[in-house]
Amino acid sequence: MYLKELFLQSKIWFTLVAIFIVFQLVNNLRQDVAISPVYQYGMYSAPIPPRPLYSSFEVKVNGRVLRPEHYTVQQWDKIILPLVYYSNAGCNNKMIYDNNIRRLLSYVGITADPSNFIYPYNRQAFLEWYRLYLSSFIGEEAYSVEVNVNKYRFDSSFQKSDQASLVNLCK
Amino acid sequence: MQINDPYRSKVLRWYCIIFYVLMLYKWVNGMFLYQLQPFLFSTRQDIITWLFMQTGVHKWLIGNRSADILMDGLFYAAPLLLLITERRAKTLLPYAAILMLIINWVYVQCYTLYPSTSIEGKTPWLLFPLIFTAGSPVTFSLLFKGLRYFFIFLFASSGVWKIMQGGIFHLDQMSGILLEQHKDFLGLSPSYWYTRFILWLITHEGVSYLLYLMTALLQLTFLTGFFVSRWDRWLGIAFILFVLMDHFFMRITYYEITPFLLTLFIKNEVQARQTVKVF
Repeated sequence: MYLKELFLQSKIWFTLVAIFIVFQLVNNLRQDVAISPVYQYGMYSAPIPPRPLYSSFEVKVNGRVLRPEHYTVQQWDKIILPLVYYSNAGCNNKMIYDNNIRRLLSYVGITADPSNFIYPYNRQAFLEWYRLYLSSFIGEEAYSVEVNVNKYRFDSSFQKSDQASLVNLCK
Repeated sequence: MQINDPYRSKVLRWYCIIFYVLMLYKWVNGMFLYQLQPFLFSTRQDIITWLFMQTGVHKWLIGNRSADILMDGLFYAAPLLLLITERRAKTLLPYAAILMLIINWVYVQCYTLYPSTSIEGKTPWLLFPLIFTAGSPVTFSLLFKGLRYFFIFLFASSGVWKIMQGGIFHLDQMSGILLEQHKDFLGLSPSYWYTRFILWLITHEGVSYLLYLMTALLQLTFLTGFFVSRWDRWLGIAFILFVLMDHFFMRITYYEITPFLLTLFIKNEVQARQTVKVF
C-alpha cells in the first residue's frame, strides 16, 4: 500500500502527504474556503440550465467591434477578463474581505490590511489603462475604446435585446 | 544523501521539455506576466492566497513592468536552473528545487489574481517542485507515485462531482454550458461557422448532452487508476483527448495541467524489473 511504503521510507513526507489528503477530503466535503494547493475540481458539475437572458461585453476599438474569431482563446480572454474583473471583482473582493478574510486571518493573529484585498475603483484610470493595454496586442493603435454590455434573449436563437455602458457594479 | 537517479533525471528532462513548450505557447499568446500588464486583481476563497496578499506583493507588481519582467525571468529560468544543477551539482538539487518551489508559489499566487487563468489549472507548477526536493531516489519515486494518485483524483473527482451535484441528470446541461461559454461568439459573430456549429449543438440538446456524458464517463474511468496502473497510457491518451476537445468545444485551454501526464507515461523501470523478479 502506497501510504505504508511512504511511512516506512520517510515519516516527514508521510505526514505531509497525509495532511494533504485530509485537507483535500475536508475541502471537497465543505466546499467553501480552499487552502492552496487543495482545490475542488467540480467544473460544470452543478446544473446549468439555459436561461432566457444573457449579457456579454462588446468592445469597440476605433469604431470597430472586436470579434472573438479574430483572436486566440487567450487573447480573447485578455480582452474580456479585465472587463469582467472591473465589473465584478470589486464587489467580490469586498464581500470576501468583509465575510471571511478579516475574521479568518485574525484567528492566526494577523490584522488584515484592506488595501491588499480591495482595489480602488477609478473608471477613468481603468479605461485609459485598457486602451493602452489593448493597443499592445490587438495589432493596431487604439485611439478610442468604447465598452458596452449587450443583453441577449435566447429562444432557440440568440437575439440582442438591450445595450448599456460599462459600469462598475460596486459603485 | 544519494542523488544519482536516472529515473529522476528522466522526469526532470521531460518536465523541462513540457514547461518550455508551454512557455513558448504562452509567450505567443501574450500570457507572460509582463504581457498581462496587471492593473486590477480579484481575490478568491483561499486562505493561503490571503496570506500572500497580506504581504502586498501582488500590488507591487501592478503597473511595475520591471518587476513583472523580473518575476517572469525567475519563473521561466527556475526549471533550467534545476536541470543545470542536476547535471553539474547533484547534491545541490534539493536546494535548487526549494528555490523553484518558492518562486513558483509566489508567481502563481500573484499571476492568478490578475485577469488571466484559474489557479487550479496551474497546480503542476505548485506541486512538481516538491518531488524534486526529495533526497533519495526511493523517496522521489514514492512522491512521484503520489503525484500520480493526485492527478487521478483530480480528474476522477470531476466526474464524481457531475453525479454528486447533479449536472449529469439534466439533458439540457451542455446546452446551458455552451450558451454561457460562447455568449461572445453568439452575440458578436452570429454568422461565423463556429458560432453556427455551437448554436446547432445548443439547440440539439441530446447531441450536446452526449458530449457531456462522454466527458463524465471518461473522467470516471480514471477511478481505475487507483487500483491498477497497467492502463495508465490509455488514461494519458484519454486525458490528451479531453484537453484537445476542451479547447475545441469549450475554448478552455488546460494545457498547463499536462505535466501531470508524466506520472502516467514515465514508469520507474528499475522498480518494474524488480517487481517482475519478485513475481
